[in-house]
Amino acid sequence: MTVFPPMNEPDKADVLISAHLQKKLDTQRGRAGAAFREKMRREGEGEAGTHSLERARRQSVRMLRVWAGTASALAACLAMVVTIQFLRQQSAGGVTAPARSIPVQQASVGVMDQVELSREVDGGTRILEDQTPVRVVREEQLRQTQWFDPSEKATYQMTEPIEKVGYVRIQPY
Amino acid sequence: MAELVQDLVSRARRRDDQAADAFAALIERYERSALAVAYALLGDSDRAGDAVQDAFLRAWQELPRLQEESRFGGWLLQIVRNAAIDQRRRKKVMVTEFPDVASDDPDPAMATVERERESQVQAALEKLDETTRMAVTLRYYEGMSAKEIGELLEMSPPAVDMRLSRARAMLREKLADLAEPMSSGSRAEGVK
Repeated sequence: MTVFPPMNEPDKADVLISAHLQKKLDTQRGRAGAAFREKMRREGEGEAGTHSLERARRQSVRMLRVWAGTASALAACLAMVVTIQFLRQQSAGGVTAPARSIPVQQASVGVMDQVELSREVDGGTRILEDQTPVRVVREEQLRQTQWFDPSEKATYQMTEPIEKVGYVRIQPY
Repeated sequence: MAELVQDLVSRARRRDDQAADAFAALIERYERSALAVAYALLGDSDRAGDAVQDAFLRAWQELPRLQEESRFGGWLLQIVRNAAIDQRRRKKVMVTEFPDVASDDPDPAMATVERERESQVQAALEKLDETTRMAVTLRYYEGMSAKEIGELLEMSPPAVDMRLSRARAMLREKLADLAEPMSSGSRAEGVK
C-alpha cells in the first residue's frame, strides 16, 4: 500500500504553485463579467432598435392602408357615377354593347367617360445598388374608358391595366 | 452557500429585470474555478481567459435548459471544459516575447530568475494528467476542498485526495531545486 505524504503543511512547492497560478490567472479576472455586461448592454440597444423598426413598419403599413382605402373609395364613387350615367343613356336610347372592339383613334367621338381603379400594394423592402434601403410600393391601376359612336350607335369600352413601381426610402436605424 | 448559489441560478433563469444581476453574481462566484479549469486544460492564461469569457456567455444562453439548479457548478465547468477544448482547436497566435531591455525592473537578474522559475513550475504542472491538473489548479488557486473539487469534477472526495497527494509528491520532487518566489502572497495555507 502506498502512503502519501500529509498535505497539511504548505511547503516550498505549494507556495510556488499558488504564487504561479495567482500571477497567471488574477490578470484574467473580471473579463467574463465585463463581456457579459457588454453583451447585455448591446442586447438592450438591439431590443430598442427592433422596437423602433417595428413602430416604423406599422406606421408605413397604416399609411399604405389609408392611401389604398382612399383610392378605392374614389374609384368606387367614380364607378357609381359612370354606371348611373350609362344606365340613363341605355334607358333613353337603347344602346347595345359592341360585338367587336374598335381602336380608340377610329372612334368619331371623344371619350364619354373614364374610370380609374387603383390600389397600392406593399412589395416588401429592397436594398438598392447604392445600398439605400427602400420599401417597394406597387401602384396597380385599371383604367376603363367608354365612348359612344353615334354613326354606329354603339358604346365602346376599353380596359387598360397599368402598373407603376415606386421606392420609398426607409430611414435606417 | 449552496442555497445562495441556487437562489442566484433561479433568479437568473427567470429572465426578468433582475436576471442579469443574478448571473453577474454567479460569474463573480465561479470565475476563479472556471479560470483554474480552463488554465489546467490550456496552459495559457490569455487563452484560459478567452475560454472562460466564451463559457459564461454560452452558460447564459443555455441556462434555461439546465435541468437541476443545484448542479449549476458542475454544469458550468463542463461548459468551461468544452470552451477550452474549442479554444485549443483554434490556431494559436504565436507571440514571441522579447525581454524588455529598458525595463523599470530594479533587478533584471532577479526578473530572469523569476521567469525561469515560472517556466519550470509550468513544465511541472504539464507533467500531470488533465484531470489531476484540474484538481491541482482548483485546490491551489481557488483553495477548494476535496469534496468541492469532487462535486465539480464528478469524483469522490477520496479519489480527489489520492490524485492531489500523488500530484503534490511529484511537484515537490520536480520543484525541489527552485527558490521560493519573492512575493509569496499565496493561498498555500489553504492546502490541507
